[in-house]
Amino acid sequence: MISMEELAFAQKFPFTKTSRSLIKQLNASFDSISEQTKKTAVARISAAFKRKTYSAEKLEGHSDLLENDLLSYPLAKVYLSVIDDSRLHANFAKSVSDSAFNFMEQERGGKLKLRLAKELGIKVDMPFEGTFSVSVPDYLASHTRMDSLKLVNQSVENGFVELNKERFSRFLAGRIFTDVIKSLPVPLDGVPRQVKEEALGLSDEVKHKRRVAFEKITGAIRPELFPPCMEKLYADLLEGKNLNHFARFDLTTFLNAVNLPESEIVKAFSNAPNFDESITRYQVRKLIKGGAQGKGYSSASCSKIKTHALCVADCDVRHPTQFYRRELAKAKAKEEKPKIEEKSA
Amino acid sequence: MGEKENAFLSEQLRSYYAEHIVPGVPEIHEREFGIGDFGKKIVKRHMAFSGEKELNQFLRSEAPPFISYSAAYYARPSFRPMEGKGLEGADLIYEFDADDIDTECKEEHDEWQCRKCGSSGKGAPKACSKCGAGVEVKQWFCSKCLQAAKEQTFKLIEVLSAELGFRDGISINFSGKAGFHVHVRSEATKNLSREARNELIDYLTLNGFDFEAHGFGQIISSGPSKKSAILSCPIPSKSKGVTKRFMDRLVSFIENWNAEKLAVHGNLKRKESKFLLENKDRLLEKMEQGILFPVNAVKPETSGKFWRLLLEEALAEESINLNIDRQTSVDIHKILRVPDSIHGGTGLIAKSISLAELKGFDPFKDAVAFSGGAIRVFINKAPKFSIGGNSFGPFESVETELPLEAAVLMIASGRAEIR
Repeated sequence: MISMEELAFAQKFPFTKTSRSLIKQLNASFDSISEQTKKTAVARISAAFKRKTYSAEKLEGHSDLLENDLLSYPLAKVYLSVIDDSRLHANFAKSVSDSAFNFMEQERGGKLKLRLAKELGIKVDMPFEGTFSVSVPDYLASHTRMDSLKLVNQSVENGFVELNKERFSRFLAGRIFTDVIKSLPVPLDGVPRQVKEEALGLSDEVKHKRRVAFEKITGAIRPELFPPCMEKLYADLLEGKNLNHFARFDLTTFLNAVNLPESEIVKAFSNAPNFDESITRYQVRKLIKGGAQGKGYSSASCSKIKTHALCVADCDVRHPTQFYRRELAKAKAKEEKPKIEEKSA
Repeated sequence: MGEKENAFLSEQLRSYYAEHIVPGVPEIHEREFGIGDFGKKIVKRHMAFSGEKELNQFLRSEAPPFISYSAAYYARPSFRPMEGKGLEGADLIYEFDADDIDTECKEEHDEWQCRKCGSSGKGAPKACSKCGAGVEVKQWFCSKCLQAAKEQTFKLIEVLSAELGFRDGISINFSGKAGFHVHVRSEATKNLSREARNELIDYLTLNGFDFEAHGFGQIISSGPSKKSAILSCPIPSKSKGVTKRFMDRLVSFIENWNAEKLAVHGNLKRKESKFLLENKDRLLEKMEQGILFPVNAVKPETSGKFWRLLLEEALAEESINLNIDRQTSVDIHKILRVPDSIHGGTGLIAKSISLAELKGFDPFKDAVAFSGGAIRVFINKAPKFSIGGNSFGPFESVETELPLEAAVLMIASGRAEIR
């Protein structure tokens, strides 16, 4: 008999061993999936696409509804695996980890956090009340984008990182993100055709909405003329891949140098995992308007980009903006040539 | 390098490897190897050896000027392309090169020439002092530069063990030329992702250091404007790790700087810095309470700026304290000199050293591979140097006889020809 308490825990934290064990006990099959479960699975993916947190309904006291909700998580993962869109996977992982973070923040003490850590296989000590200590390798296995959570900004001694409650919750959320991303795609053997078709329907919708959003962002900038290094970073960003600190710095300053407006740069970063608009806006502004004279940081030269291990081709230029301006001039000349030839004919 | 010099050095390498065993690296059968010739350190990769015996058989028969091995472990180390090798983890590797550390002795032994206008001089500038164009630098290294590289190596190992907890599996070797390599091999580090390795490098180089995240700069009490706010700092005696290193440096500024230095670095008037020094003890007492003391009672807004400048200075100094070659550490497919092999650009051994041996290590005595006999050479230009306990040079366009170890060093570094 599955207890209500365990069902409620699993509903809030569907990525846990507890949840997986309960799902196994339910012995569900694709044939028995209810419409409600499908609807909830789609709602999870929709929230992910909109970069929102999926809020599990409070269904305490209704074990059958909780069970349906529980099953919607692995179903959502099946749908995502059929869609096979890494950006959407990243958004989904963020949605799950943000939801978990919100639940953890509702707790005053550390009991829930410690339980989650155990579920994730992380060994934690509590040297003092409100202080959590995890090993450096465990800390590094957690994905996080916030500068305040970088290892360099933590209290590190003797191989352990000491975290206060909030940072510990964020660390766990980062680990949840990493684990969910790693769990996708799931194997699709034995998934019925109908389920795959349902997923493909969702995929078309996602692609259409994304195309519309992309066209709004790029405007007059021509990403197809970017130098290979920036083209790759920009593509990675739009695909939802995580860019490291140097990549973000170099791409932002480059986009600024080619006159992409601040608001559009922020929008481009909205595809990134763990996107937080206010933090991103602050960081972008700092780069494009900060610096010693308030003129922003200049975009990196090719030699700097090589030092950052971001160079991907030999372009025979010294600066990425040099490449872009050259290619832009060539493209414009080519586009204008037929008009000139038409006129003179 | 001419054919005669090439042949001479090859013969020396062959006879060295015929008489000396190079210990195999850990898990040798899972490592990719690469070799280089006298012109380039890596000309061939994707090689593999089943064990120490096979490695040494290769060294005896081929005597390559350079041999390197991967930090990474592969299921199929000789497979091409790289993606098919089956990556199974990697050591952490850090490299310190005296060529990259700004030392005063470079003015004594390095020389530059402008690629555009032909001007030349001593030292290792980034650009020509006459026309600003790029320069070619002929570098040398001496015990002073190596001392700087040693200090960085000690610092790194201290941080790796005392802060990051990586105490096991640390090995050090001389690079064979101007620096040291540090390898960390352990189960805890073997499977760290690329992102995790980037985080570690950021930690070591203080990239992304955020003052507020460490407890600096929060307003404890404010006056009429934000500029006159009294700011917080971490408590030095309770700080750990990076914070502690940072606070120690800040405290050392207050304890050791004179009024002039405080005035310059903190943008203070002389009168203000004198006031500060007169209240040094109170300043330090307040820091121990987590407060950055307002240094100017009359103009409190000066205080915020002063502390911000000092914090930036502490960060800058602490950052260059560990001048790690980032590229070496983040490139998981990097290959690095095989310890105890010969460096073809110097003829010195890339000697394995324990931490206890590092302090007194002198490559010009302890990493010398060749001895006995004398060779007649023509030296184009070389600064004063020591090897095998003897001093030589400086030389310029001179023909002379040198002992074997000195001749090999001169020829391998491209400064001499055989006569």
